[in-house]
Amino acid sequence: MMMRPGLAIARSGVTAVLLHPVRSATAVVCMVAILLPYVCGAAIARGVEGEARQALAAGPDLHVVQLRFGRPAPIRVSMADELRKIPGVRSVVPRIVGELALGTEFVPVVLIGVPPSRLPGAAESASSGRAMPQFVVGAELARTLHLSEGSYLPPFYRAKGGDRVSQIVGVLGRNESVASGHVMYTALATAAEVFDEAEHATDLLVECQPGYLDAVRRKLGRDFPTCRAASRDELASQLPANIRYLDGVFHMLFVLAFAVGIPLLLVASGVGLAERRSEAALLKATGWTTDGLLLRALVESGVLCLIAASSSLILGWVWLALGNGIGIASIFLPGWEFDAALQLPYRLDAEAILVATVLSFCIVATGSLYATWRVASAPVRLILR
Amino acid sequence: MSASVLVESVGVTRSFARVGDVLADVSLTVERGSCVAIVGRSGCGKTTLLSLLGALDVPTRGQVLYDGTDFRAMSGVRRARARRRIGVIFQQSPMIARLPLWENVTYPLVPRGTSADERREIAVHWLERLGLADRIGARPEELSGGERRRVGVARALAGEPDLILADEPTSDLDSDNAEGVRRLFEEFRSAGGTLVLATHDPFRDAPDGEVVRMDAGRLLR
Repeated sequence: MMMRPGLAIARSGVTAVLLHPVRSATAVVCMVAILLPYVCGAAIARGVEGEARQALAAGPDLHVVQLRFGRPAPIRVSMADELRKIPGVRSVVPRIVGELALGTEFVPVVLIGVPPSRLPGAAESASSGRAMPQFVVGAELARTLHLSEGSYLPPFYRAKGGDRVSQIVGVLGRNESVASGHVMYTALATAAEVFDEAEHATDLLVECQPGYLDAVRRKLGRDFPTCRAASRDELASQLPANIRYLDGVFHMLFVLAFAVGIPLLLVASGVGLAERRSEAALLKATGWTTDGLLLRALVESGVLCLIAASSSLILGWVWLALGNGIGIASIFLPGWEFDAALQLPYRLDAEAILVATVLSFCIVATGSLYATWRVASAPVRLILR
Repeated sequence: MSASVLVESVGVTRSFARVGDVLADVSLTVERGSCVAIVGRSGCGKTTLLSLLGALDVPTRGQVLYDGTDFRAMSGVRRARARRRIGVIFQQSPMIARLPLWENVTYPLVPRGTSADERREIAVHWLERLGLADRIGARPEELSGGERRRVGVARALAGEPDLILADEPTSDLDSDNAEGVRRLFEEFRSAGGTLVLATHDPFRDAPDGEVVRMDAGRLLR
């Protein structure tokens, strides 16, 4: 049965991968070394973005902050009552989000204070007014500070009634969002006491009745000109910029890898070059054309790139899903521990697969360009030597 | 040039930088269906002449005409097509490493669009004829010199060429296998094929062929 010559040559390119196993293996290893961090970084960035979007979707309709000199400033908790009077407002929840450092190693912590009814499940008892302030901590923080449910925290803030020992009443699970790793939840009053900002919050979370969002915003803008209300969509629109910052970190790393990878591949593709040139001369002596040899090399490169891309994706999945990104997540996520306690968010979607494959092909094609041309242009008289 | 001439060298000289003229003003005409045996001492230029006739090398001066056209006047694609009509049996029996024997025999058929199944059939046919039926899956690294030589013969014949250029085709072979190769050459010629071979023993390898003697790069008539 006769095939189209181009198809027959292309098929010979597939098997040509096995003719030079050392060269093929070296090229694939080089490619995987370049692609694997990229695949992991892209998957983590998408995972973090996905979590952030989920959190936003589950969050309030409006975030209201007080502005002073054009910057966010503490807002009076009593303003929540004023906002509740606006028609269409269903609920208003004051919240404190602040940063502090704990322990002798000054471990960074995000302290979140909300009304006790809004605390994460395990923290329902973490309220103020009891003898001992109570906190729920993120898994990463619990591990770093060796905390568990029932642990005590030595005084870490100055309260009006004197220094107070605090109690851990819950630890968030490792499947919580990546942002919860270094978080401490407590009652609003306790958080206000920690930051010495009694009767103040950092923002108010406003839920509206269906169809009232715009009206509430307009009313807010008119009656509270020193406040700024950001809707869920507005916050979501700021997400890509933040995620892109994360993207930027690994894009930069990847550019470096690319710059190193191509010369590396140039060297790798030169493995066995003399043997391949002799082989090309033999093929030309028996009727192959330079174009045929180039097509064969192109298909060979394509197969190598597919092997490299699929190996990178499989290894990337293994590293992220089974290895929880140990050793690599900390490069892309600031503050992420080398062997983190949290479940790493990642998403290996079709776009990541496509990008990895295209990049793989570009690098293989660019890196092996010189060797391919040297082989295809081998003079037929080489066979006589 | 007569229409019966298949390949012809006209005043061909081939020089190398450090060696000088390996061939000097060689003119040889090979007619279709003929057999030409080139004889001469080692290093007299037999292999160089064969390589020029097979478009494996380019003469320093002179012309090599195939079917009336100078190889140098042909485009790369046309020259490649011409090479497909020429079966070359190399002295060193080069092969593609790690490629099974049957693939080595029929790899030249790939650009012609011959399917793998058909190529395997063709290879089996020729390897059987050359006593290598049990070695079709063997790798070149596993072959002896004589086996490699027979694979070279099979490769040259598998492409159904018009012309075979054979460089000492029976030199590594025992008498039985050498006789087998000679029989195949006879069949090839009886089917209209043209044979040019370099040999030390023209009476054995080409008993009915025209014998052309070479010495120090020149043809002696």
